[in-house]
Amino acid sequence: MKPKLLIYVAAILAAIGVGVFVFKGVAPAVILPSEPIFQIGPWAVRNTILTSWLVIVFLVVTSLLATRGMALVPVRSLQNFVEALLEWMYGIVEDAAGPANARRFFPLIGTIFLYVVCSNWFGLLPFYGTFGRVSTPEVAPGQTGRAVALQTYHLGPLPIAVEPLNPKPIELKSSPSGDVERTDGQPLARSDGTPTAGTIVPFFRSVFSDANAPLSIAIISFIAVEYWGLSTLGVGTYLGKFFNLKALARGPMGAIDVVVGLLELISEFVRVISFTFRLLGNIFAGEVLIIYMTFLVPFIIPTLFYGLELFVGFIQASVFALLTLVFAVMAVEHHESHEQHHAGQEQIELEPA
Amino acid sequence: MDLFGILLAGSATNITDAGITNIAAGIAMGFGALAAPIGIGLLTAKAMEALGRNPEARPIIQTNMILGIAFCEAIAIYALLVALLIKFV
Repeated sequence: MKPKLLIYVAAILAAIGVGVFVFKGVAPAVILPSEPIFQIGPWAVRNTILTSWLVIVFLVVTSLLATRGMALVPVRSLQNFVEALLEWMYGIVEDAAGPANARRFFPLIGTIFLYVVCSNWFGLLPFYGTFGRVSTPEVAPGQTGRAVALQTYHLGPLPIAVEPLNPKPIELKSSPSGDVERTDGQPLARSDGTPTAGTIVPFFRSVFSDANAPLSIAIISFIAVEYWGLSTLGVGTYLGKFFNLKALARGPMGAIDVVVGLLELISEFVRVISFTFRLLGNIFAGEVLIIYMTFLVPFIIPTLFYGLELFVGFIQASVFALLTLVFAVMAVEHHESHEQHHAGQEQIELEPA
Repeated sequence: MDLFGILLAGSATNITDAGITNIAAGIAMGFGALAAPIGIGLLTAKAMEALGRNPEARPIIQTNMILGIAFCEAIAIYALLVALLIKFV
């Protein structure tokens, strides 16, 4: 083997070894619900709402900058880039839905895709999950809680608690009077009020790792698909797809069609659940994976998982948008022409590029 | 013939809550991970076949393949979510 390659391999292995043996961490706490950071009146603002505002501000500012001084032949590179992106997305929508429907569907599909992909990719930025406010976990009587020993530095009047380089895990228990205290007997708070041990509630957390966020866009997607179906076909025809009593009129074998229609109705609602858990599972599990990998092997290896998360974030965004598109196209097509559509083989029409 | 007693004879541990939680999480994810790759593999194999017969249809085949893979993967992700919920919640 060439000596240069050998040196690189040795350096990487050394970095991994140093990370594993020298920089030990504390096993991270995996918390599924998002944590509140501050209160505005009765509303506890959570860290995922904060990040969603960040993504929204980013998208709005980018669109404003891209359309400032818009010209038919783009002079500014941002306008060119955004146009290319939108053309790519619109091409996919048009392929699936046809030109007339594409104009109706594209705003929602495009927004879903851009919002989800930006939220997922923002979740990989270094300031997510690394800093936040210190909190003392609630410990029920008889249980033990986990915390980390913290050192406090003062930045002017502001106390900043820092997890030291090799943090020590502290067990907390519930004292007889109901307060939380450390099991090793040391005080939980210093004389100036700063905590000696606690957990850190991050200020920024990936938007779709909170169960409410995928649920919200799944509900929006469901409402939009039903609205498009009802407005295109009319209430009677659209509901006739599910409550297929006309099939019974054709003969007793039509009972199967009735059951199939009812199953399709149930599957419309199950789609909301499936959308939610697909996106939530992918993003939350990706977050847990990265945190745990960083805990196990702090150097080099998490980079591979960041790459995986980049890919997964993009794929899940496009899957969400594409599935909404496919369900919308299915909702607006006429039921009886379904067989003719297949027979006519006009499904695949490839235009020369 | 108390088999259970024989198994535990040498050890001083009981079955703890945390222990059975770990086993449950492992089983949940393990079973979930059994079937999903089979589905994905079948899908991808058929997509490769279709691509070989008609390379010009690549965008459509690719898009629909990714769509199908997402459906398959979602089931495995449900299992992962259940495993995480069992272990950590």
